[in-house]
Amino acid sequence: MASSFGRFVRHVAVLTEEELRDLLLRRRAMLSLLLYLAVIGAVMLSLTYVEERLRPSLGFFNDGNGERNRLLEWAQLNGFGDLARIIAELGSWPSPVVISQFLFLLWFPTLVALVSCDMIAIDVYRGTLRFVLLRTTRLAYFVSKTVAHLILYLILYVISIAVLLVLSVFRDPLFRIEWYARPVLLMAVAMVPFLLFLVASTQFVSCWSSKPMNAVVRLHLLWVLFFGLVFFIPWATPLWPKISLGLIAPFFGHQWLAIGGMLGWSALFGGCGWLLFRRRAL
Amino acid sequence: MADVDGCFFDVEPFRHGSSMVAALEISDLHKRYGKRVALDGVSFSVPEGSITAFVGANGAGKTTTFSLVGGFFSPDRGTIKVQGEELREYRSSGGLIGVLPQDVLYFENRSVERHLVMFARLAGLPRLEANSEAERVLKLVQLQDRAGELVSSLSHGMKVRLGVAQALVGRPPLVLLDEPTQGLDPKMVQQFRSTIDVLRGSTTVLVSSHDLSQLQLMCDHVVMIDHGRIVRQGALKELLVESSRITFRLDDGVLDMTEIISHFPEFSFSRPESRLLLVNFNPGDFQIPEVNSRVLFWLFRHKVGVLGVESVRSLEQTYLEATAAPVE
Repeated sequence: MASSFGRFVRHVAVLTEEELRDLLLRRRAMLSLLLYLAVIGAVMLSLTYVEERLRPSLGFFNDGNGERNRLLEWAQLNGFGDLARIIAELGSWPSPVVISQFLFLLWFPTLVALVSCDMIAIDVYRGTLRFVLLRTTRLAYFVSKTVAHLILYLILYVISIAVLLVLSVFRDPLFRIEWYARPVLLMAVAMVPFLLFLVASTQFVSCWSSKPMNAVVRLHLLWVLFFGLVFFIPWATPLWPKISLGLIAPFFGHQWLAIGGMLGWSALFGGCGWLLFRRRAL
Repeated sequence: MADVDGCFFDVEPFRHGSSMVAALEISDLHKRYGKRVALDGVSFSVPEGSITAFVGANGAGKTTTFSLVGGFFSPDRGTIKVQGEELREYRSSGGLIGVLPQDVLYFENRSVERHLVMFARLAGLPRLEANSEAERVLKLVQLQDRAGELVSSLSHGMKVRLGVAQALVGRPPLVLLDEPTQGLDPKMVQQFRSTIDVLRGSTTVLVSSHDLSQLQLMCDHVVMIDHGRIVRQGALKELLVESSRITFRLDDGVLDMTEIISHFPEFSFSRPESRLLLVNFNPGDFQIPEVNSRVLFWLFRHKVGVLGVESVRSLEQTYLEATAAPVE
């Protein structure tokens, strides 16, 4: 048992390494990454520029300011205290961190769709899946795809945060690492399961498709349906607003619901993907 | 991981020399694709250390059998045993089977060496040993000078050789080669035969091809499949002589059949063509040299010119005969 588990782990490690090498050498991935970093850089620079100009007028968001407390009291009395608390908390964070989180939430799905939608479909289409499965199991192959693509996006996320911090050091005159560290860590805690969710849903679609182009179309359809369901039939997904709130405001306990929700959705998509892949003809 | 007799395995070494255990034993294998029956109770065994030819027409069930043994999909019924173990158990305990599928497709943007190193690592070798193993099999298929090149730059023949190399990586005790000589030029086919010769005795090879003359040169056992059923199997020598027929190629075709039939009532004669005389005999009662000399002597005495004598059939003849009769 231990030996077969050890072999499984070894196979996952070997295949993950090979997949990552391919991903990092893939022109599509590299172009997306460069474009992504360029956008992040441009947004950071413009944000810090704008913030320098506007900071005095947004002063009530800073800690210790009486205006902030008065706003919270007023919101509490008028029934939307929680929202005000969240806005106040976000307002006390460095704005590049807050804005970049919004940017990540919008940009990563696009990036994942571009780079990963054919993660399994391409091997089925080219016939290389049969070649790999000569020496390993379907499960090891499936897991290695998840791990490799998740690692890729984690690397991209870490690079993005590094770019954000470096730009902030140069552009933000009030930059203090302790002021940035907490928000960045809290955002990262929510982002990691979000990335897993993106990879798992993409992998599910890729398992369902035998041509790379089909996978792209189906992935977009899935997300349109998914988010359509969330926004237009909210009663069908009562937890979703709380789950998604935790992605934007990963504090006051919302982060746990976001993590749990994202892991749950990832497990659902991953499980369905595996069921499809396990039985698919080669 | 153990290193036994120069073979690397992460669990147990394969059991060479144990003639009691067939390297591959297939029993009552059934497989359908929708309504079409691909395999209909296929049973055969491949002796350990043998080079066995798997012969059949297109669609006879060769590739389906290979795919089932390779684990690409599951049979509807029947069992596959490798080295005496059920296929699933054998594979789950780390047992290797080298397979060259019929339409092998590679990662075109990876180098030749990278393909092989990956397979060697999946076979349980650490990275350094995997590199040496890749070198070894590349030398075996004479692709060592192409190690660093991208697969997309290889010719068809080289890709087939790479496929053979990947099947041999990690020294699997059982190697299945599906149409390995397809599209190869005569020189490459000869090279391929020498590669297989190197493996003789140490590795069990099941090889399918439509080039029966090449199979006859390289194999020592044969399994014939037709319409999803095994029609003949056994040692090549026995199969080829089993018919106990001698063919005499005559000079002018003038021969009194009544006289020769009456002179040799123990044999049976036929003449598919005027210049061919076929002599059939019971192998339990007579041996080829004896029949040969007796009939030849009679022909010379009756002044019948003989241009040639064939006492052993070709694999092709045997195959055509075996598949000519309707399957029961």
